[in-house]
Amino acid sequence: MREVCIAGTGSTTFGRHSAVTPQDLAARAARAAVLEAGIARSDIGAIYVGNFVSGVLTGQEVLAGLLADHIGLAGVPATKVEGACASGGIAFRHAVMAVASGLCEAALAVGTESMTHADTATVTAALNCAMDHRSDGAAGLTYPGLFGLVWRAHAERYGTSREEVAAVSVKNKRNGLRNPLASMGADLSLDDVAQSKPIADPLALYDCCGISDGAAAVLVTTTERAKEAEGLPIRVLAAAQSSGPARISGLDNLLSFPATVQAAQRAFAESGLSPTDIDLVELHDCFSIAEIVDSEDLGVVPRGEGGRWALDGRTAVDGEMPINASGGLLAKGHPVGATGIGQIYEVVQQLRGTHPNQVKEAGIGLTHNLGGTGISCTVSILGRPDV
Amino acid sequence: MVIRRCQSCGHPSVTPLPVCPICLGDTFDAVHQDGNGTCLSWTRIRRPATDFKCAEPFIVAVARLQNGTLVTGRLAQAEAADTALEIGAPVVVTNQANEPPVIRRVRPL
Ligand SMILES: [Zn+2]
Repeated sequence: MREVCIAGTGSTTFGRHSAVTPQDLAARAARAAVLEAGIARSDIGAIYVGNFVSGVLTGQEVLAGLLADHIGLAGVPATKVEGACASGGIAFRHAVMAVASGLCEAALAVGTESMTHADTATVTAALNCAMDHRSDGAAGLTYPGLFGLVWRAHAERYGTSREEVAAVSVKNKRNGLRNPLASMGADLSLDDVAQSKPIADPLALYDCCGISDGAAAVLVTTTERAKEAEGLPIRVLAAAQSSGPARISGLDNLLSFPATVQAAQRAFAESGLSPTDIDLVELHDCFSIAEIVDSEDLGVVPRGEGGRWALDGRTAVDGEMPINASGGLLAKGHPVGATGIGQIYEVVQQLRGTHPNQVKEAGIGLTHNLGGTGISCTVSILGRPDV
Repeated sequence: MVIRRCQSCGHPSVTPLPVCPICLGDTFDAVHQDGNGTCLSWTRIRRPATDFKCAEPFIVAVARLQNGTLVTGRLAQAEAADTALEIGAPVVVTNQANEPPVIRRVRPL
């Protein structure tokens, strides 16, 4: 396998893009990534588009073919991938494989979603397409509900407090204020979070990521070609993917998602690194409690201590393990198919040293993208070329 | 409650799956069991998806049956208005064909 670099990145803001189609958002992000990479479009041999709910919410499918058409790449193999909220991460991994294998010199990974035009119950139903309709979905469970269940189990087992969970939202919402791509940043107190409107007990409004539109794109190519790029090329040290239990009854408990554990193990094996080598993490904080469980599953925080670390500032931008310096899903919003690529985008800016909420001496970063009730997951590890 | 058991290896499943994930067997028996278990966790759904809008708010719980299997179900409607369901409290699970499992509290006499 050849070594692969990210040579170009692009992203729309995440938030509200009224009356803009997901394929148009994708084209804007892809255009920026191609221009930044400074490589000829004729070198692009594959396009992967991560998207989850465009069919249900916009009635538009074949987004990958539409994107190829829109950016003058008709003829290039263009594939849409879907793995619920991990669709973007999966698209990235496939683009990396296309270049690493030698099948093409450059590949484009794009994630896109349009959601804000639909009402909350419709979006909730669309997202529930990622639940097994014969079990959890049939009982009326929602994604906030799933993480309400996880929260209670975590609190029972580890004594995780309301304050500790709220500390995740406070941190990420504040980080978001520094990120121009994030439209849901806010300066909140622990009390503001705890007192916000109940959604799925014990989860309240500020424990939940917002419904969002947006797209992000990265262009991956060989190390050789990446040298022509405008910005510092960033090495792909691992791009791992896993699948996990399709329903709660497949889990041993509600304290961990096996798909995250497995994807992380693969990514660390692939890169020859360990959690202590990681300088920053962008993980799937669809809900405040999700960040706590994810950080423990990834091994970057000790089991049972995710809440404590957040409250003590150890996961802040200047802490020992900065998590979601971008503001994460809680502050950026979660345009589901775009999120995984959005995380890669953020880590690339961090490793280039150009992020608006910069982590000091960021050399190696990790992204984590989780789908459904833990049915799909990707973990990627990126590194600065001199590290 | 009724669960399915793989005829080849005996693997139990509450969800009717087409193939046994353990041995790939494709024939199953319907087995009755008492449905006794404990509450593993619960949540009150206040923002349901479109199909469940009429029922709001309702409680979804996860029970651990005595054989270790986890079951996701709805707390019986009559009990949904009550206060907290305790983790570890005894519950009983029932189910009917094409209906999600229903979870009830077992109250001390
Ligand atoms: Zn079997």
